[in-house]
Amino acid sequence: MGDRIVSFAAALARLWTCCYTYDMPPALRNARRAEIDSDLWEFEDDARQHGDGPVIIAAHILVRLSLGLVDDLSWRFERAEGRSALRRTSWWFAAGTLGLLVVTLWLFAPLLAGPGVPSPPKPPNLNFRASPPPPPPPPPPPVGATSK
Amino acid sequence: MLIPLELAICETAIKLRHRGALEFHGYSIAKAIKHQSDARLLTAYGTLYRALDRLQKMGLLESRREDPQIAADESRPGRRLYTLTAAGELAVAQARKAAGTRTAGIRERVKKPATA
Repeated sequence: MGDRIVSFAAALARLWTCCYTYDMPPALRNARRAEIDSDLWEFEDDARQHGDGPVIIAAHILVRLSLGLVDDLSWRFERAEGRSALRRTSWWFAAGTLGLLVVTLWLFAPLLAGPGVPSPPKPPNLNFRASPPPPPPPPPPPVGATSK
Repeated sequence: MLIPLELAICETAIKLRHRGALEFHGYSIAKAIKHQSDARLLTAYGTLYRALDRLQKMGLLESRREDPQIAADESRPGRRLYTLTAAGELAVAQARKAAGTRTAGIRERVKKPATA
């Protein structure tokens, strides 16, 4: 189970790299893919040697991936300069990524929001009702009566 | 003009060189930067490799593919190995000098009201 989480996170990182390097010059594309592949391997190896759990490793990969999304797209745009076809696909790609992010956030918003704010406690019942008057005291013993 | 991450990469490369590592790869520099800055996370993939790419374009870094045989012997993917160029060292020296001048200017401005 644990290894599958790490494999999934690494596969997601590789998939994203394949996506944003799509249609780029082969040398550039292959170099970037190989570099990410190497980084993923080195990180996983290093983290396992330090005794990090699979969930931590997977989370680290996913956070590194998501924090770099904008830079990945910017890099693609930088490299597309002067190549109108690549620039055009880059715009489509950026729009698609943005759409996918919005849909993902919309789907996972309830999970990200957590359990939400707890509802306030019920107000105390202040509807006092007058309690019935205490029973009248017993009548005094008749005059002249003795306990004997 | 170098952005902070690019400067950090170049400075870390100099430190690694002093420790005997003439070349570095993406993960090793990310790890070294994390240790230096006491950060909890490594630099994001996109941010790191975009910065390395920019530094190469500026001529401050050079890179080469590692010998595939070495990677095969160690059963791991091949690395891209980077080296800081002489221009990179010069850029770091200039950035440090500029930072020093700025600091001196701020100190002077802070001192002036006290002496006036």
